[in-house]
Amino acid sequence: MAVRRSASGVAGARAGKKAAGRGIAAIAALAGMTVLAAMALPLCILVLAGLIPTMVAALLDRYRAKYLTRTVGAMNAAGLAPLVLQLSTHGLGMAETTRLLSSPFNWLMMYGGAAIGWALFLAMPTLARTIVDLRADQLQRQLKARADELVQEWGEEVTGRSAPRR
Amino acid sequence: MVQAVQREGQAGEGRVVTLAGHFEIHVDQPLAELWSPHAGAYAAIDREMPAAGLFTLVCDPQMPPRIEVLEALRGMRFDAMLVPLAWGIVEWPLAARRCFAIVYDRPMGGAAAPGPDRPGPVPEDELVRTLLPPLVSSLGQFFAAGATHRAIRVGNIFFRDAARRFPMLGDCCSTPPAVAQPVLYETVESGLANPWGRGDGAAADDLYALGVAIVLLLLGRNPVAELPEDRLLLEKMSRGSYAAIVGSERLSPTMIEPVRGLLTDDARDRWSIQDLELWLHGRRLSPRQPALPRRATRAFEFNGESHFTARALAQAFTRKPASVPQALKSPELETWLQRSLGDAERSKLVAAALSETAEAGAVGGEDLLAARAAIALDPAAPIRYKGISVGVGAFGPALAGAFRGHLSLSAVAEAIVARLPAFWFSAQPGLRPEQTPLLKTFERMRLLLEDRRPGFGPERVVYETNPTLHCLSPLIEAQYVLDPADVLRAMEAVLEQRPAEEPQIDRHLAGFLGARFKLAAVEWFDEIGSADPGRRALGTLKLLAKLQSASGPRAVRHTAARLARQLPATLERFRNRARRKQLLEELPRLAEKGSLTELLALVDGAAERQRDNLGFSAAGQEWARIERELANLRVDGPRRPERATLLGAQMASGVAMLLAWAMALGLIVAVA
Repeated sequence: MAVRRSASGVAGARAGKKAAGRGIAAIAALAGMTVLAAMALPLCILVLAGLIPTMVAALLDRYRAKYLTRTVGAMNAAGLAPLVLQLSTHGLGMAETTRLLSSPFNWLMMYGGAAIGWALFLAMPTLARTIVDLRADQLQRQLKARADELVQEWGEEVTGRSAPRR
Repeated sequence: MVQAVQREGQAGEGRVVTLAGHFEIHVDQPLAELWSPHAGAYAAIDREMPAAGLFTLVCDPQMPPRIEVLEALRGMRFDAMLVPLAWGIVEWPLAARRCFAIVYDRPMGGAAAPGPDRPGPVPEDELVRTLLPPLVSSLGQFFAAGATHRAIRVGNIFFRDAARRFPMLGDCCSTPPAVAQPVLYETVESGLANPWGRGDGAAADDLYALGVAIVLLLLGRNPVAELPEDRLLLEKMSRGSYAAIVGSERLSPTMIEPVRGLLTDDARDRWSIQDLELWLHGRRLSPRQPALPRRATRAFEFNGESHFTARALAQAFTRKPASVPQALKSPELETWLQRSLGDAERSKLVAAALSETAEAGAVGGEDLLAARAAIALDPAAPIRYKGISVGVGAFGPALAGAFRGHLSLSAVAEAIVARLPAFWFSAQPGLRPEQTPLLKTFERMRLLLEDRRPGFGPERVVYETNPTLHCLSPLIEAQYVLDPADVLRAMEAVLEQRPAEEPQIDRHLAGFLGARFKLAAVEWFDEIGSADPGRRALGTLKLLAKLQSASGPRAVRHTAARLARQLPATLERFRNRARRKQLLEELPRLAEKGSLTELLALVDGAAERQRDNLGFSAAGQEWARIERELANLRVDGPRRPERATLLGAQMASGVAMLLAWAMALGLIVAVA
C-alpha cells in the first residue's frame, strides 16, 4: 500500500512539474510578446494577428506533447514568415503593418498555412492506421508462416499440445 | 569346445559329411549294431589314418549331448570304454538340418548282446577274468576324471576286437545322463525320477548299473523282463534291489558277494570301485545283507491303501495330492510315524512341511503340500510335484526335457519358484559343502523364473542350467547353435532360404543370449519386450549389432535387409522430419552393406540423437515465442486505433515541422 501510495505520489509530482512547465512556457510567451510589443509594436500586431489559428489550436490540443499546436503552429509560422520578413525590410512601421494586414492574400497565406497544418493533422492518423494495420498483418503472417514451418519440420509435438514423444 | 561344422560332400561310394577337417562320415552306411537309443551310428574314416576303424553317432537333436563329459574326456584313452575322438556340429542330410555328431573308435566285435537286455549267457569265469577287470579299471579312471557314465547296460557294452575278448563300455555322451536307461539299471531314487530328471548322479549309480549288468550277463537274460517298470520299482522299494532283480535266480556264491555289494540300496553301503577292484584281485568278503527300509509295525491307511514304509507313503502322497492335507492334519499320521515307524525325525519334517506350506499361502495348495510331505517322508527321493519327479541335481536337464515336451514345464518352474529344492536340502541329514553352490543356484534360478521379461523366465534358466543345450528358438533351432557367436550366421542362413521370415528375438533366443552372451545389456531385452514396434526393432538391432561387432560375420545382408524393413518405426523417434526422411532413404543402402553396426549408428547415433533433441528443444522455444507474439498481436488489436491516432499526430507534427523548415530555408535562399 505504501509502495502504491508512493508511486502515485511520484506520478502526481511529475504531472505537477509538467503543468508548472506549461505555465512557465505561457508566462515566457506572454513576457516575450510584451517585450516584443514594447520594442516593435507593429511586428507584435502582425504576429498576434497571424498566429490566431495557432493559439486556437493550442487551446484545442488534447495531447500533452501538443502535436496539434506544433503542426498548425509550424505551418502557420511558415505562412507568416514572408510577411514578417517583408515588414522588417520596410522598417517595422505601423503603416506597413496596416498595409500587410489589409491584403486578403496575406491573410490567405497566413491562415492557409495554418489550414494546411490542420489538414495534415486530420489526415495523418488515417494514414498511420493503415500503416499500423499493414505492419501488424505482415508480422502475423510471418509468425504464422514460421510456426507452420516449425510444425512441418518437427511435427505437432513442437507445439507441446500433442502426446509426448515415444 | 565344439569343433567347427563341416558340410556335406560327395565321395565315390555315397554322401560324405566331414567333421573337424579330416573325419569323413558316410551318410549312406548306417551301422545298426552300434545304434544308440537316441543317436544313429554311421561308418566313419579318418583321412589322416584311413586304416583306423571309426564310427560316428549322430545325435537326436531333441537330446542335448553331454559336451561337458566330452570335454572332460578330451585326449584321454581308456582300455574298455569308447573314447570320443572328435565331436561337433554337422550338416546332416538325412534330417535336412544340423546335428551334433561324435566320432568314436569302432568296436570291431560288435555288441556284447544280440539285443538290448537280451544278452547271451556269459560264463562266470570269463566274466571275472576277461570282462570285468578292464571294465572296472576304465570305470575307475573315468570316475577319477570327474565324470559319471550313466549309460551302463548290457546293450551298451561292446567288444573292441573281432574275437570278442576285450569289452568296452559304449557311448555315454549322446544323450543327457541316464535318459535312455531302463528303470532296471537305476537305483530306487533315480528310478523314481523321470528319465529327464535323473541327472549326472554319482559313481555309485554307475556301480549299481554295473551290478545289474553283471546279473543279466551271468543269467544270459533279464530276469524281470516281464515286470512293468513301475511294478519293478515297487518291488525294489519293498524287497530291496537285490531281491527284486535276482529273485529266485541262482547265482554262484562267488558272484553273490559283488552283486549284493553293488545292488545295495543305501548308496553309503554300496560297493565302491575300490571294493570291486579288491574283489577282482581276490579279496573275498562275506556278502552284505540288504538293508531294507524301516518298516512300521502297523500299516498307515491312505486313500484306501495300506503303507508300511515312509517311502511307500511318500510315493502314495505324490499320486493322490488332493487327499494329503487331510492325512497330514490328522493325528494318526504323527502317531504312526512316532510309534509304529519309530522315526521322530520324519515326524518333525512332516510338521515343517505343513507349516512351510501354510506360510506360503494357498498358491499351489495341496500339490505343494504333497511335494513337501513326500520330501519329508523320503528325503533321498527326487522332488515330486504335479506329476514330475526330478532329482535335485537334475533340474537343468528336466527343464530341457520340459521344453521338448517330455515334462510339464510349468510344474518344473513352479517347483523351483516354490523353493522345493531348498526344502529338500533342509530335509537332508546334513548339507554337504558341494551342495551350497547348488542351493545358491536354485535361488538365482527362482529369481530368473519370476522375471517374465524377454531374456529371463524359464527360457533363460534352461540355458543357464544346460550350458550345452543348443538354442531352441524356432527360427534357428535347426541350425543347432551352441555358441552366441554362431547366432547371426544361423539367422542369416535361415533368412536367405526363407524370404518371408522376419528376424525376431523370441523368448528362446533372448534367453539363450541372456545366458551366454555376456555383452548383452538388460535394457535391450526390455526394448525387445516392448509393445512399441519401433522400440522392439531397435532392441533387436542393438543386440544383433553387438553380436556382429563381437564375433561377426562382417556382413549379414539378409538379416540387415529384413531388420531395415522394421526400422522405419524406430526412426519415428527422430523429430526432425527432414532428417527422418533422409535416414529412411539411407536405410536400404546401409542394409545392402550388411553391417548391423552401421545400421545402428544410423538410427541410434548418439550425436545425431543429441542434435535432434537440441534442435527440437530450440524449435519448441521458438514456437513458444511465436505464440507469445501472436497473443500480443491479438491483445494489441483493440488498442491499435488509439496508437494509430497518436502516431498520426506525431507524423503530422513531424511533416509540418519539416515543411516549415523547408519553406523557411527557401525564403532565406530567395532573400539572399
